[in-house]
This record gives sequence, C-alpha cells and structure tokens, in this order.
Amino acid sequence: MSPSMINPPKKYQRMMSRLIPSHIGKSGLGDFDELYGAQVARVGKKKANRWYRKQLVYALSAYLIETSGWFVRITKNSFKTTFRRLSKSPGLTIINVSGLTIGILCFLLVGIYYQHETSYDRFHKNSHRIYRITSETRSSQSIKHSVLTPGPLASSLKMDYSPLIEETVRFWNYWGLGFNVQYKDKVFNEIRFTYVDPSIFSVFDFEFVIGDSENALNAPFEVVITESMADKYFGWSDPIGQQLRINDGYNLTVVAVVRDLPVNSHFHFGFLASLSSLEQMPWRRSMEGWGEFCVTYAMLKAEVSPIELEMQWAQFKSKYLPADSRERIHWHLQNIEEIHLKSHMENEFEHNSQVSHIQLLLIIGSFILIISIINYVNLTTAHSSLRIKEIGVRKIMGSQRSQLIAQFMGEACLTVTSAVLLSLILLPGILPYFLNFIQKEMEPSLLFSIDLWIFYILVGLIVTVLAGSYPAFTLSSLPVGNLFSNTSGFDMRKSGPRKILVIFQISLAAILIICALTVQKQVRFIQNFDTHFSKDQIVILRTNMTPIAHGNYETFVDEITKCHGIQSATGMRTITGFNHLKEGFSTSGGPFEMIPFFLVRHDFSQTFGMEVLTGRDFSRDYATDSDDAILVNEAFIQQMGWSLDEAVGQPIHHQGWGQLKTIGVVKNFNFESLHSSISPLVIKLIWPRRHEPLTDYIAVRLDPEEPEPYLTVIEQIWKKFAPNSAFDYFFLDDKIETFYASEIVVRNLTALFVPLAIFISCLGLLGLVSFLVVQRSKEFAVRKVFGAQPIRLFQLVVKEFAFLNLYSLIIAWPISFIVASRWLTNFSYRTQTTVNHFIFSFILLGLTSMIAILFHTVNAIRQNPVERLRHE
Amino acid sequence: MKILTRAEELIMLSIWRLHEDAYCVPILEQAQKHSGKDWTLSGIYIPLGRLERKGFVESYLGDPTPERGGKRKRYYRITKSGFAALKAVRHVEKSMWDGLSETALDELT
Repeated sequence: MSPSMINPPKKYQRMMSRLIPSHIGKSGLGDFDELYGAQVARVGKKKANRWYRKQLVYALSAYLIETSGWFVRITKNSFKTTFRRLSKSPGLTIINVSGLTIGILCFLLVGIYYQHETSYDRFHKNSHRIYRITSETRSSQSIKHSVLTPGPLASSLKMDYSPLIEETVRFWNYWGLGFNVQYKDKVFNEIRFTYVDPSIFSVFDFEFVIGDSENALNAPFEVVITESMADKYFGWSDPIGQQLRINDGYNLTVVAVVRDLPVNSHFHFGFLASLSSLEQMPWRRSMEGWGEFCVTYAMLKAEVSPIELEMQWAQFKSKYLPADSRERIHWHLQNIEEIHLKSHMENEFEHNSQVSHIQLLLIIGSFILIISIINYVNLTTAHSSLRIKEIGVRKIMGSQRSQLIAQFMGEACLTVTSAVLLSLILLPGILPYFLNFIQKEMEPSLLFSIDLWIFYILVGLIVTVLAGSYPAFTLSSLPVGNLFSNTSGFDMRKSGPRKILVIFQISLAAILIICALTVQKQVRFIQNFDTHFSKDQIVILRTNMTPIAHGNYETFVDEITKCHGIQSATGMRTITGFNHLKEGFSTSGGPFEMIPFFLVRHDFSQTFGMEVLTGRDFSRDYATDSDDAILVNEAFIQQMGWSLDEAVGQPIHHQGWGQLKTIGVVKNFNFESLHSSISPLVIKLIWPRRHEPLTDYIAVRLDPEEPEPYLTVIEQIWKKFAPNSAFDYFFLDDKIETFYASEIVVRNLTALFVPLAIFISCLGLLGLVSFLVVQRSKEFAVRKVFGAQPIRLFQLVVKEFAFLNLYSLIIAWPISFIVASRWLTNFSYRTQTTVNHFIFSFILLGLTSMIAILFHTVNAIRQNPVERLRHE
Repeated sequence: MKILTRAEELIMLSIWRLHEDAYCVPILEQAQKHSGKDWTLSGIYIPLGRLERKGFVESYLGDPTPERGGKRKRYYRITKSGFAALKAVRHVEKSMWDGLSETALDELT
C-alpha cells in the first residue's frame, strides 16, 4: 500500500463521520477511506465518488434505524419497567386511573358538546356570508325583536344593492302553525313545512337525492321534500310527480327529494314549497305588500362586509317606509352562524340554545379535570414518599436526574394513556346518556371526526405533562442525604397546600350537593304547583285550517260533549297557558297599554276550571257578548285600581274594536310560565264573523286517569267532520312542561355531577390520608409503645379530618346559599334552600370521608411499632 | 427467540475466520464472499453494534497504521459468550437438521 492514501473528498468525509455509529468510532472513517481507495483503483475517481455517495445514503438510513432502534428499545424497556412498577401498587394505580378517566371523560364529553354546539349551520358552504335580517320594533313601552320582515324587503334589497348582495331567500311558514298534508290515506299535520323562494338552493346547501336544484320550485305548486318525509308518505315508491294535498284546499307536486338537514342546523324543514304558489291561493297572500311578513335571508357577495349593507338602512328606509315608521322600525343583519346560540327572538323557527349552557358545562368539565389531575399529583407524591429509599438507591447507583424525570413522566404517561384509552372506550357508551341528560341529539359518527381525534390526543398529552411534571421534578431533585435518615422526613412543609386542596374539593362537593337539592326541590315545586286552571285534564286539538274550524265547530263540540267522560270543550286562538297575544287596551282616557289577551269560544272558563269571582261568565243567552263583553283577571283590576265590585260594568277601550264592557272577573291563574308572576289578562269571545280563521285550537276536558278510550272516540268523530285533516292532539301539561326544559337540564346535570364530585373528593381524601399516615407513622409507633389504645389513635386521625370537613362546609354553605338563591330569582314562584339541605350535605360528606379514610387509618394503627422505629 | 440473526452469525464467523485481522473492511469482504450478496459497511456496523451490546463480540484498537495516517484501526474478536452463542446456534441447527437428508435437497430443488 502506498503511504499516501487516496482520500475521498473532504466534504464527503465530514458527512460520513457524522453518520458512523458511536461504537465504531473514528475507525469507521478509515474503513471507508480504504474501500474508496480500492474503488478508485478499480473504476477511477469519478465512479469512486459516486460509490461514496451511495455509501452515504446507506449510512444515513443505518443511522436512522439505529437511532429509532435506540428509541424503540428505550421505550420498550421503560414500558416494561413502568408497567411492573405500577403493578406493584395496584390500589394506587387503579385509583389514579379511575380518577383520571372520570376527569378526562367529563372533559371529552364537554369538548364534544362544545364542538357540536358551535358547529351549527356551518355546513353550508357560504355560511360566513349568509345573514338573516331581523327586525326591531320600538313602541312606547317596549322593543320587540322578531325574525319577521316585510315580504318585499328581499327583492328591494337585492335590486337596490346588487353590488353588495348576491342572493336573497324568503321563507313563509305560517308562523309555525303547521299545514295539513295528505297523500292517499296518510294525513298528518306538519309543522316543518315552509314556502320558499327557489333561490334557497343557491344560498343554502342541500344534498339532492332525486332531482336537482336547477328548476326546483321555479313554478308555483311545487314542493321539495326530505328523505324522511318521502319515507313517511310514499314508502318505497317514487315520490316524483306525485301530488300532496294541503289543507284540503290545493295540491303540490313533488319535484325533488333532498337529504334531511343535520342536527346542527337552526331549521329542519321537511317540506319546501314554492313561494310563488301563495299568489295563486284563494286567500291570496302576496309577498309584494309591505304589510305581509316572512323570514328573509341575504347572502352577501364575497369580500363584502355586512357593515357596508348596514350603512344603507337609513337610505333604504326613507325610500320604502312611511315617515312615521322609519324611527320605529330597525333592521339588522344576523349571521346564520350566530343564530343557534345567541338568537332568542319572537317567531324563531326553532327554540335555540344558550351560551350560558356551554359556559356552565365548560367550567364544570375543566374543574373536574383539574381536580382529578391534582388528585393524581397528590396521590403520587404521597405514595412516592414510601419509595424514597428506592429513589435514593437509584441516585447513588448513578441515575441521572433526567432519567428519574423520565421515569416519572413515563409513569404518568402510561397512567394517563390508560385513562384516555379507557375514556375513549367508555365514551360511545356514555354519550347517549349524557345527551339525554342535556336533551340534545347528536349523530354518533361525529364522535370520530378528525378534529375530535386531534382533540383527544392533545388532551392526553396535556394531561400527561400536567400530571407528570410535578412529581417528576420535585421527587427527582431531593438531596440524597435525607433519604436514608427516616421515611417521614419527606416534604413536611408541603402538607399545607395538600390540605387546602382537599378542603377545596370537599367545599365544591358540598356546594354541588346543596345546589342540586335546591334545584330538585324547585323543579318538583313547579310540577306540583297549583296554577289555578286544570291543565292536567286538557287535551288540545289543532283545528286551524280544518273543516271543523270552518263552520262545523258547534256541531263538532256538541257531539263530543255528548260522549261519556268528556266534560266540556271550548275553542281558542292561542294555547292557554303556553302562549298568548297582546293587544293595546286603555281605560277611561288613560294611555293604551299592551296587555295579554285571549280570544276564546263559549265554555272557556268551564273547560279550564276557572273561577269567576264577580259578575258573570260569557253566556249564549246574551247575544251581544260576542261583540263587546270581556272578562278580566284579578291582576287586571289591581292594575287599574278597581275593587272587585267596581270592576263589573267598567268600560275598556281598544283602538280597533272600540269600547268593550267588563262583565266579570276571573280568579288569577298562571297563564305564563312560573318564571313570571301573573300579568293582567283580558279575555274576549271571538266575533262570529271571525270564527273560522281564529278558532285555531279546541280544548277538551277529560278524565285524566284514562284518556285513551276517549281520544279514540273523539278521533272517530273528527274523522266524520274532517276526514282529510290530521287528527293532531297533545296534552296541555306536556306542552307547558317544555317551559321548564332548561331547568330540567340543569337539574339533570347537577344530579349527574354530584356523585362525581363526591367520588373525586374521596379520592382527594385518600391521597391526603396516605400521606398523613406515612408522615405520622413514627408518631403513632411511639404512642403505641407508650401504651396508647388503637381507638385513641383512630380518634386522632378522625379529629383531624373532621376539622377539614368543617372548614370545607363553613366555606361551602354561604357560597351555595348565594348561588342557589341567585338561581331561584329566575322564578317568580320559588321555594327556599332549607337548613335540611345543609345538614344533608354535612352528613353525606362526613360519611363518605369517613369511609374513605377508614382503610388507611386502620392499617396505620395496626402496624407493629417495631417496623417504624427500626431505623432510629 | 434466536440468539443470533443470520447476519450476526455471518459476521461472527467472519471475525473468527479472520483471527488477528478482523476489522470492518475484511469482515465486509468475507461476508460478501460467503453470502454472495452485496453488503455495505453501514450494514455491517449495525449488527456489529448489536453483537457488542449483547456481549458476544468485543473490540479493541490496534496500533496506529501508516495507511490511515496514524489513525488506529478497530479490531474485533469473539468473546467466550460469543462462542457459546455460536455453539448453541450450531447445536440447534444440528438438531433441527437431524434425520433430514441433506443430499435429498438436490432432488427436491
């Protein structure tokens, strides 16, 4: 070999030296040089260089394999050791995993709920530029927010501001009263039915199953239905071209079928009929007049800001509105993405949710997660004080601090991962119950969307870091010397924060218990409250637009009331106790005030069991009753300042109807939800000439025990009079309960979280107990040696924990009282948080904490003193 | 679980065969010669590292050589446990092949 070796290019050499494994060392570079020399001799420098480059690539892949191999080996090894270590203390591990699982599960549920609630209406491609136009009407007393806007608004806006607006859509759904839809023998009352402009398909995204959006709804008397409606009416047969009969008055031809709208949409119509049909109707409802109202949506052009349009309102109003309306009426743009959580106006398509629900759940979810993490930290550090020896030995043997940190983080990682996996497994099982609790629906497939996977992984990582860091960093940094002196020297000064944590948890549990009890009590109170009208004996039939309302009312009601078991029936414009109209009334020259107002037929008071205190009820004997007689309630006369006797005969004025006469006073009854107190009320008979359009409902008084047979009888009679109209009924008390839907949700939620909070505070107590027991084991041993009875030791521990409980309760009681009282102010009719509730919380928490600490304390007491004092 | 992978076995045998002269380049040549496959230095390094970790092989630095400009070469030799591993592997092979006719392979292929 010639002494002067041919060397590969320096650049290559440098790269190669980085890629040679450490155990080969510098010799490796020489190896390559040698081979390079051989290559040069064989094929020349250029090809040798190419060979060297190839070697670099191999070296790179070897390097990567080696590193990842090392990585894999380390993790496999630590996995094994961690698992082994965790199995050595199964109790602790189970507690940790279950605590973390609960925390993570709650947080995941809340996260899913949050993601669902904030996703409403975003599935429309252009959702960020679709706006609903809402109206704000100001009068002397109030400001009314409504989703109803004048019919011509849409087209005028589009015409006048075409650079800003791409498209508009109008919806007219008869204010949600529903339409009678019939196909062959299938007849139902459909509320989810609306008339729309064909432009709906350009603005909103609908998935067409049969047909397409090109010509759909351009012509009058066409309808597009959803899949579920197609199933309902047509079963397996092809709906296209078939005719649906509406309100037994006209037909609509099915031109297309679309997929049902998903849960997260603010409207869920099953029928979209062409708006142009309305002009051809016998009762001609033209959207061209400014007195007709509909719901208007506008899609702005891309890059256009809503403010640009909002600035034009003044000019627009001066063009189209009469001078006196311009100040009273204001229109606003509302992005559809905002509707679900923030819109609570009159005449919404559906009842919307509230931001406060989400906030509440987010807070609770985060709380529970944080508490379970704190528990983990508490328990782990406390438990580790028992492993100090092991740590000490490791350190002496040369463990670096980083290795110890890695060890603890590894433990945390494994525990948390198990908890996350467990939560994910339990999640699909628990989700339906959770949804039930909060009365929502969700498609389960959403559980596994990509966003949520990212969320799950993030949660896992963050919890690992949070839970693992504290033990990892504090325990590994202990000076070695201390560790062998005695086991109780560990972190004496740290018991303070631990105790505070436990107090915090117990207080939280106590607050939840008391609030839950209060909520329970209030909900029960509402359900049993005497509203002074017999809502539980009433069945309501929907009669608007049916032949029964159109002329057969009297005969129908006659026939019904003849039946056995049916005591009375009456007709109404609105659903008593559920909603009502307001009209302007004034008395003897005073200002006109908007007062709640019922329009009814005869026998109203009888059917609802209302008591007429003075004067008389409406009566068929007095023909003029239908013209000007009215009944008022006690609240009304109180507001007017009349006494019971004065009231009869008092005149009342209405702007359109002239002068009316009070013929009687009814006893107050709760016609609004129990959130409000009783307002004044005026009741009037429907004018005979307006019987048909205004008799929207019939209320029938039944025996509440067994309504079924009577309903069948009524249905048969119904079919006689209105064979083509759906027999649509509901029980009044069911309807009224929907007022309290959110209270029921709150009640369910608190009922759910109370046991969770108790469980978690027990975990916290366990952590504290383990720690304290270790800490004071030497003390116990000494006491035992000096002849202390076990019971005495037990008392010592119990006393300490009793004080903890006491502190917690002292904090919790005032807070829960304030919170509960604030919540109760939502109701005009409410119960009180009683002393019982406080005492119950005390007993409950006291008992559970005793049980929690029992095991450890007994163990500690029974320990042989010799064990503990051995190292002195 | 095998004690040695085929690559490791090959490399160990090469080391044994090379006696005093067992450093990476001749090991590479031996492996290539006997297996007929193309090996790369990096492909040797990895199993070598494993063997060292398992304790079957140990390395030592030789004297500074002029060819390498005064740098030392790293030589390998098999340890006692390495030979034990080889023995075990051979034993397993013998017992697995026992009764099976090697000559019959010619007919069967």
